[in-house]
Amino acid sequence: MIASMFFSVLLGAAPELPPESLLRLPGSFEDQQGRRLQLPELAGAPTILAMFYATCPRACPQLIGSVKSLLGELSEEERAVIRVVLVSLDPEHDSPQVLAATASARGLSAKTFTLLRSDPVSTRTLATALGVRYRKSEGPSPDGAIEHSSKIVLLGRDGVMLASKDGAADAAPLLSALRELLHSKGP
Amino acid sequence: MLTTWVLLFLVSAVPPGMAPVGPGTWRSPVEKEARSVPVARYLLDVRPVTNEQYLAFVRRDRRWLRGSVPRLLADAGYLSGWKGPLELAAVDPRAPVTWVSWFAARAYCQSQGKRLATTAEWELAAEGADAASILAWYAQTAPSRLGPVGGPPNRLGIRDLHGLVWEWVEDFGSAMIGADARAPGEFCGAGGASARDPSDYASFMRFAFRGSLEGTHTIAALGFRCAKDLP
Repeated sequence: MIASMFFSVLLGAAPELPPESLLRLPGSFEDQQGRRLQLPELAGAPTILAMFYATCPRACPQLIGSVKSLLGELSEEERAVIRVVLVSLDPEHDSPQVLAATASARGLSAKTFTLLRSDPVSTRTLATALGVRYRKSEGPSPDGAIEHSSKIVLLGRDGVMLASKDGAADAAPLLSALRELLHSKGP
Repeated sequence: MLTTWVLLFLVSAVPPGMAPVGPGTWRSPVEKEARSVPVARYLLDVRPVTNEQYLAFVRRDRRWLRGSVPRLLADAGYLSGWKGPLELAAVDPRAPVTWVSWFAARAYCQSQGKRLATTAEWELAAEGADAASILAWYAQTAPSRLGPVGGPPNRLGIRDLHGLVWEWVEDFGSAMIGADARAPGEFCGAGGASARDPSDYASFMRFAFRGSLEGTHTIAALGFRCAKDLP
């Protein structure tokens, strides 16, 4: 036991994530404070994950609103252990500064909310794994608008997807999965 | 003078098995999108990736062996056309590899220093084909045993874009045919998206097919080829 702990410290290895963990997906990310990180570093907390973009006029405020109302259903102690990760679909425009401005405009405290951006390839990878579809609208719609499906995903402490909610679907199943996770000791 | 030409030739040399495509503009076949996408000149594989090429890849990278790939990256059908994880048996080694997920196709291309083409890039390369024969092919069910790659070249020297397999593209997830795309009064061809131009119906069918896929899906008649930016 001690030997294996010693080796993982020696190798600088995080505890091995299961093959189905979304946090094993590749890519380098930046948060709203400009910190660089990789997804495995997010392991260890029950995580609510969604994709959005900063200049989104309608769907994203709704998405963030439904994440907030989900959190509103929980006690303060429960909220304290949850991490919310919002990943940008528009990495070209959503710099750490833009993400920080979004966080402060929407009242998203850094204690709970991590806003991330990556590069176009890793963004597409993560979105595809989550089942989030998106495209940049060109032509008549406003410049830079991104059409996307809205999905809120619950990840276990090891990054395995436990539940999800599509668009305007009922939040109850996601909430009960979240409660169950919060009261379990497992991953 | 001669040296200049030789140098120019070397700089612009196209890697074997690839052909330049574009620049050009691709117009989406979907009425609702009404957009033209500019496509920069790029390189595309002349042929789809074959079973034997993919076998060489999984020999090198055991993470992509059948049985080793997590469900997050490929469904249970992954490489199910092969006899074993490293045994082709019934399939033609020179036929396009199928039963591969988007994640697997991307990993293969990455291992070659390449990538998947975008929808706009792929469609630009495929333009100009005879719509009637493509639609006739779409109407058939997939044969139980796919034939080898190497059909006749199109105007760009690219082969098998139609008539053998469907192909993954990088942004298949940009085709959205769900309830979001549904608007009243539209022809319900693909969950609400409507075709701009009946003559472009083959392109529209590809749009609808992409819209029905998930990144983990593996399908008997879905393969891929790789692309690359021009150096």
